[in-house]
Amino acid sequence: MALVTTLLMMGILALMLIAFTVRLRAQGFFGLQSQSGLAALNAAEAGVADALSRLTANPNWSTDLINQPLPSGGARYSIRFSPAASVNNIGGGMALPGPRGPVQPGTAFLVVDGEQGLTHRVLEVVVTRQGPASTTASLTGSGVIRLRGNVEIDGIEGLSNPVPVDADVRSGSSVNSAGQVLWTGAPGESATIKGSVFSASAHPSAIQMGGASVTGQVQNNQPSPPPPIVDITGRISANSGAPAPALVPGVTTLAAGDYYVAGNLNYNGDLDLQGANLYVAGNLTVNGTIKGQGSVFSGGNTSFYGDSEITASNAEQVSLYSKGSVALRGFDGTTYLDNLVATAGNDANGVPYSTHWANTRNWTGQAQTLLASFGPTDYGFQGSDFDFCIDMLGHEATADVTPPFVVAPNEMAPVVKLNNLLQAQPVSPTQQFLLKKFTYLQDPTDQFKGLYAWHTDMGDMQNDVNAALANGSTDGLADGSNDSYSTYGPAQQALIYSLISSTMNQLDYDRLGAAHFNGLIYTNGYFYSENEVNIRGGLIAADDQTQPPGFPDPTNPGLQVNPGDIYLNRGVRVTFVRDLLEQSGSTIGTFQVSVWMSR
Amino acid sequence: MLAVGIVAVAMLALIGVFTSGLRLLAQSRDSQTATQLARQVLEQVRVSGNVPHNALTFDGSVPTPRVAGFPPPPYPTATVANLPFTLFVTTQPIRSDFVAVRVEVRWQQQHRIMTESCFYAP
Repeated sequence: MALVTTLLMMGILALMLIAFTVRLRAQGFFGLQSQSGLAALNAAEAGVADALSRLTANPNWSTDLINQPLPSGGARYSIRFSPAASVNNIGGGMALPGPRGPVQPGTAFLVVDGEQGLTHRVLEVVVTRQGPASTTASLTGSGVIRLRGNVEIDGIEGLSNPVPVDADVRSGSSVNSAGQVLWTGAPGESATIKGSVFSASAHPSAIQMGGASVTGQVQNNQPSPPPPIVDITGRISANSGAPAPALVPGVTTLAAGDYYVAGNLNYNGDLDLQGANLYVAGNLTVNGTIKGQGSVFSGGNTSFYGDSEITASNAEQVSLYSKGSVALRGFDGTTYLDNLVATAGNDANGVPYSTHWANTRNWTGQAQTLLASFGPTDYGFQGSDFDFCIDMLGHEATADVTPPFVVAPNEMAPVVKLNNLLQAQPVSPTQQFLLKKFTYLQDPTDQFKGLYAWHTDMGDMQNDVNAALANGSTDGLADGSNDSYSTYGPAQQALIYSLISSTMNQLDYDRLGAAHFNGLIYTNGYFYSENEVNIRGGLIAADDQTQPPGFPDPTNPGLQVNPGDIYLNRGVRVTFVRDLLEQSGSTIGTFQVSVWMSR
Repeated sequence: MLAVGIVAVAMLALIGVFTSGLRLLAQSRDSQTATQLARQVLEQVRVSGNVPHNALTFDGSVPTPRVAGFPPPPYPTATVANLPFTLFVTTQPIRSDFVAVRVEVRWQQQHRIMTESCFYAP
């Protein structure tokens, strides 16, 4: 009996021993697995760091890294580039297909696989380049924000992704008096702000927007984070050893690199930056526009005019950092054309120029409306109403009699007719600006050139669309994208649709004479803009107490426009573009991970 | 008598297994604590972006003074559940803006774990 009891006890003890051993083994296994997982994660993070370093050396880097060991051996990481894995679109102008959807221009989507033994940890990251100043509002001023005449402020996610976002207006002026954010307009003029208006001032009338349409909040006593202070002078000094730019009349294209001008720079023409950084120690005056991709630092005041062309590429954007004040002026092109056609009479065929002008605006507006009614899956049918609109705008052919468009032969191609009228006018800055703009829309001497250009075969269409996908070119894009759409796959169709939508939306059919600027404008002085200017990006006026007082307000000589103030006068439209601002200053910024994801 | 003998032998074996098992469990727990401490250093380096660009060795037993805030705590030492851990950190530049950081944590003289990652240091 005692033996049986003993054996029974032995059995129980043996079971306990087995359970304990199993627990020990499990503990050991989980401990080892945890350590392997951690080592694999460290390897994956090292891979991300390696990628940031390689992108800094070469922003177009896209060479596979396979089984890269950490210095002490053991753990490794791999990065493979393909549309199903990692995609580098840092230098791209258009979105590219990626494993989680489109990879936006100016970003890289990286999939990094870290491994330790049999354990893998995969990180997915979105890499962007961060400039020295960023903003989450369309207008950020440390002083007063003054709006006058027709003003429109709205916001979108990106030029190729025009989903509306709030476009806030923020005044950091805490002066306890009325009118820290102010709109004044004559009868018939309007102001629309698709976002909120905030003032740091506690004065109950700090915000005076009577008559304006504000879709968000209107709140005083709302201190905002102070605008960032960029060391403009320091950056200019640090680059004083860079070569001077070789300026030529007309258009100066600056290739990637740094350029330095010791004194003032007065230039008659357009500055086209191709990844360039321009440092000007003194004042910068450009009697033309600043466009392309790059950064401009001005140690004094800056003055320039807007561009006649538009772009659908987020990569096409300039970051302007001005120690002194900035004046961006347009040409009042729409008013010029209104007045011109009212007195120009009829063309050679007896059609009033006013009809051509009205048709240009009307058909552009209709094309925009039609595009907005489509989606990526129902765009692109030859013979669609959109196709007719584009043909009618630029193509001098037989009359269109397809309802709803019934157009007399002599009314076709109004853009070309207006171009002819403009050529006959005395030379003036506005006349020259509008000529460039109408030629951009449709070249009068070559019907295969221009945004509305016509095509005769599928190869031509695809060439234009491929160029647009590659670099944001808009030549022949409207007709080409529509007619060759069905020859592309769904992923590319989505990109093409967003490209043509973005391009047409920016035309602003009611303000076809507007000048354009894409990017960020940052000043330690005041910002002033007038005469029909469209700004896509954002404005920051950050008073750092180094700049003298500004100039008398033309609408009220008793007031002054001072450093930190923003003044938008007569026909200024600001479209806050979130994606574009995230890339502002990217040619001088550092790479960073903006989104981390773990599989 | 035979039963008593069997029980005695079994109990001795059981006590031995339990003792060594408990010791292993404690070591495993300490090892996990050390791993967490090392991970904490690497995580703080990643968040702060503060990485020296040259090859350096920081011995937590001395302790070697920090350079511009590097290495971050818990360097040089940490005590968890009355058990002291000592950290050793080394940096090794791979490229001018790409630096490897190795963290070794030692405790009770004979135990150590090592973990390593690399950082982008523009």
